[in-house]
Amino acid sequence: MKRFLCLFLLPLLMAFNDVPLADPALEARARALMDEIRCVACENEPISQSGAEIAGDMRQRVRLMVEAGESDAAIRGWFADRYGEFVLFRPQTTGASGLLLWGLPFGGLLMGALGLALVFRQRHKRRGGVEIAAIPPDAFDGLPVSNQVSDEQAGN
Amino acid sequence: MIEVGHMAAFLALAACLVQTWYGVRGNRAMAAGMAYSALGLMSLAFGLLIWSFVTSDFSVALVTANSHTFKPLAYKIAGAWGNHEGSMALWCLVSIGFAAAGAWRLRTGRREFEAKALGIQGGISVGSLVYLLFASNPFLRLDPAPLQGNGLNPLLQDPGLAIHPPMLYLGYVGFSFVFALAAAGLIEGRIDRDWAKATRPFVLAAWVPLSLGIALGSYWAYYELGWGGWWFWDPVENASLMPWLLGAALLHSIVVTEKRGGFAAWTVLLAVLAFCFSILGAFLVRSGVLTSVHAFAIDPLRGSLLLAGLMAYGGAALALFAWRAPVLKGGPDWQFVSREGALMANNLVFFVATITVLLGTIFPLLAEATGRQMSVGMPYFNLTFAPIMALLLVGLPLVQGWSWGAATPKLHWMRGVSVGAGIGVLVLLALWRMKLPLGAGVGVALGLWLVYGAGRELVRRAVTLPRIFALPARVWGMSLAHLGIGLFVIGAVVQTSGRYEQTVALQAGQSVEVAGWAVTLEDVRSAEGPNWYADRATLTARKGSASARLLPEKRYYPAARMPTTETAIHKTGFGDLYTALGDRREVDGKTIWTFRIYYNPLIDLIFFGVFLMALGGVFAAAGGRKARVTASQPEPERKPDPEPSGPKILEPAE
Amino acid sequence: MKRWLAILPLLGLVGLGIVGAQKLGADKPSAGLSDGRAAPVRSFERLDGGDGLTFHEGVRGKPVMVNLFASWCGPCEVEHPLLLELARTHPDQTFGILYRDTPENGAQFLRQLGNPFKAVALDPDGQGGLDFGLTGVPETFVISADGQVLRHVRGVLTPETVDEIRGLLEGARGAGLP
Repeated sequence: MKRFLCLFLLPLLMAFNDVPLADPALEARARALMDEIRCVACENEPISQSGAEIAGDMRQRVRLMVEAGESDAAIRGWFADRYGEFVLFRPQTTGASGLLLWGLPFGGLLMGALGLALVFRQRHKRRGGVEIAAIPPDAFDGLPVSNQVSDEQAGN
Repeated sequence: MIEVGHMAAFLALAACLVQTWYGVRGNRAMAAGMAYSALGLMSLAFGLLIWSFVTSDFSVALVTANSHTFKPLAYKIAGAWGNHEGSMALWCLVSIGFAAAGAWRLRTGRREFEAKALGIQGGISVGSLVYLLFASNPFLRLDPAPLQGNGLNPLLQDPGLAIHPPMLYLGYVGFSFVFALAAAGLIEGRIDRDWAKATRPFVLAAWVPLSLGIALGSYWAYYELGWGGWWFWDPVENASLMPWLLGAALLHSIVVTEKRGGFAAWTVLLAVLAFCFSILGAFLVRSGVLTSVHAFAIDPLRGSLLLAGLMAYGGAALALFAWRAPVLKGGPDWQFVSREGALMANNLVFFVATITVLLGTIFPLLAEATGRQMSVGMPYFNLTFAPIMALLLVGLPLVQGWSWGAATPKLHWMRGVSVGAGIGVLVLLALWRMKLPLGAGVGVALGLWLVYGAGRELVRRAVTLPRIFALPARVWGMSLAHLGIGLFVIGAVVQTSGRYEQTVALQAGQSVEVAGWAVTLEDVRSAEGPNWYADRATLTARKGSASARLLPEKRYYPAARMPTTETAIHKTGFGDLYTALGDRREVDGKTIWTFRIYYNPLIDLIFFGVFLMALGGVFAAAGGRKARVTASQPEPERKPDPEPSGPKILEPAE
Repeated sequence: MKRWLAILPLLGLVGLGIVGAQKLGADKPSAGLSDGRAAPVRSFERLDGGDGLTFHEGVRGKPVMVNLFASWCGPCEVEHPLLLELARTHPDQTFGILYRDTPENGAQFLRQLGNPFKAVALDPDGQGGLDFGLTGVPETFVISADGQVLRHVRGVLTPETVDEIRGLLEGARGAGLP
């Protein structure tokens, strides 16, 4: 139903309220916020990229609040108070879920690197510190790779 | 007519069943024959489906729902796959096509293995066909037949989007054959150099169209949606990005398996996962569990079938992996600082990046389970995915020349300083000319660094410059792809941080200045097409001696009762002057029109970069073939090895 | 390769499958929440041209219902009879906000279908709707006497939600949160 409204009432009442703020620095801040706030009547679009009229209202509200000197956090908070954290495309970093969501990529990278390094050290030790020959990266280019070799191995 | 197609699809199902039977029993010849027959039958079925679209046969329910007599012929054809049922039919056709391609091209000398791969691919086709025929049947009649159809979603009536889905399916379903090869290799317990050599071309055959499909979709979103953006981190986009990333990881790790016999378990796991993520993507976007801007036909029943398929095929393959991976043999020993080590780091980053995309995509679902509603969007991915991938890209030019086994990187102070200074000058120039923020300078430097690295590797391998064209196609492919990544990074960074956008309201005759261009609205007239009518604005843009005429439109498609935005783009050489027509307003008796006008610097580098990556993939596949020609000799029919033998590496020319 | 490592991917897939299966068929809750927050501080113009209308201070010392509607909104017509019925039992406690509409169209709409509202506020630019946390008309709020949002109904009212609203208008009279 919401989607229906979104599509069909669009042309009816389109107020032209996308007047950029006079100060380019404030306007840039407002733009950045609009990329992070979700249009509440559409499917997964930030208000900066939505043709729904309520997205236009929300853009106007962001500009009004930026102009009134509100901080980014206060503006995000204002929308979250009314629409829930659902309305913010930048999820919170606090709490268990924030830690999981923001920490897992970097933590995973770190843990992965550490884990691989450990496995590698173990394996290396087990095999003994034999000198390993360096083979240039293009050594195999254009060479017949392996069928004959494995055939020999297979005893053919 | 369509009943013949319906029948043919059923016969194709039967052929695939027989193919599975023979394949699993190790009869390659029969499995191949069945794969060819299935391809013939499914082509007939899909051809007849397209024919009913071309002839606007509204007694076919699918045609009624998705076509219209006034639609241009090309979009009638594209309409066949511009909907859920038709796209599933295409999915089946591609799946069967890959089996036939495998039957034709697969020449490893291990017939048992090849037969099993064909059998498993047959099993995947069976699953897709069952899903097609019993859960999303495109061959159904409508009685009585209406006189006119409902038309295709006008957003899809676009050349870019007409070929975008087939490309994506070649990618997604292409990974199904890679999956089949992986599963067959696991059953045999042999994931070795032969396996890698046979599999790599098929990975490329999936990854190249997937890259092009994603780029086409992105380009389409850029010029059709009218918001000037090209990537939105929407679940549908993420669903295609995840298999792409895993495919890219696989392309790197399979090289280690091919050349050294190493990373066997990891490579085969990636091969399985790439396909699992393809189905997962289909499940996420078509079951309705996630909200997306893309309007897919959403149906929980289909969702549960897709999930069941994912669990059945993915679960079976991963169980196989759990059982067989421990017996796989590794390659010869290597030191941490070596080509193997560098590629391992590469794969770690690709994998973590994939998991990051997955986490961001499904996190709202996980949060819902705890009663919370949240969104994860662009800011999250920009702050996690981008820096993680940047790590990979910074390292690439440094390690690309490392040797197998053990590398002894040498520091070239002079070269380092001169490259650094060169990049620094170019970055400063970019910052000064385009007034980019400093952070963007880092991104541009990274891109230039990659471009330098791609060229440097070619020169290093060629030793002398004239020999550069004698280098194997594979080396060219690699360097082109890496060059593409560099250009992509430059384009993405400059476009994102240097773009200029303005929403303006103009009366006829009024002018506005956007990014140095004086844009004047001449007039707005009505226009008409075969199945739409539109308001078309005429804008003239002037900057110095340069001038351009732009004709953005706002179209209305009566059959679908839907408006679309047709943007007008002027390529200035350094970027796009991009205009989209908005709404009409009456103010004080005067008519004013709103426009969104953007200047997107260097945006073409984004799409060109991805195109170069795909082109690099084509070269890489061609290179593989060349080497094969020298290798292939008529091989005697032989029994499979009694037990898996550890791969041995061929020492370089002594 | 260790066996337990080889089993991990399978476990991952099974976990994903469980989450997916749970989500399938689950109703997708709509945006928003937020019962118990304060009603917006804003003074609206009235349709009848009278003084500013406010909702944050508990207008009449009792809970009130505020319905956001518009003449261009089809579903608003659907729920209108329920509002008329509610107005018969609680005439002093039903208010309307005409969302993104001209006063003429709004007046015409109420003339045709009957006016259930004690007073109608004007919100021509939609900013008042945002204050309330509106995603699209129709939406209905119950605000306590001390200015808290007791209930927020998104979309069309049903006899059940109207009963609930009626209960709040009677029972929770001046009593803050239930």
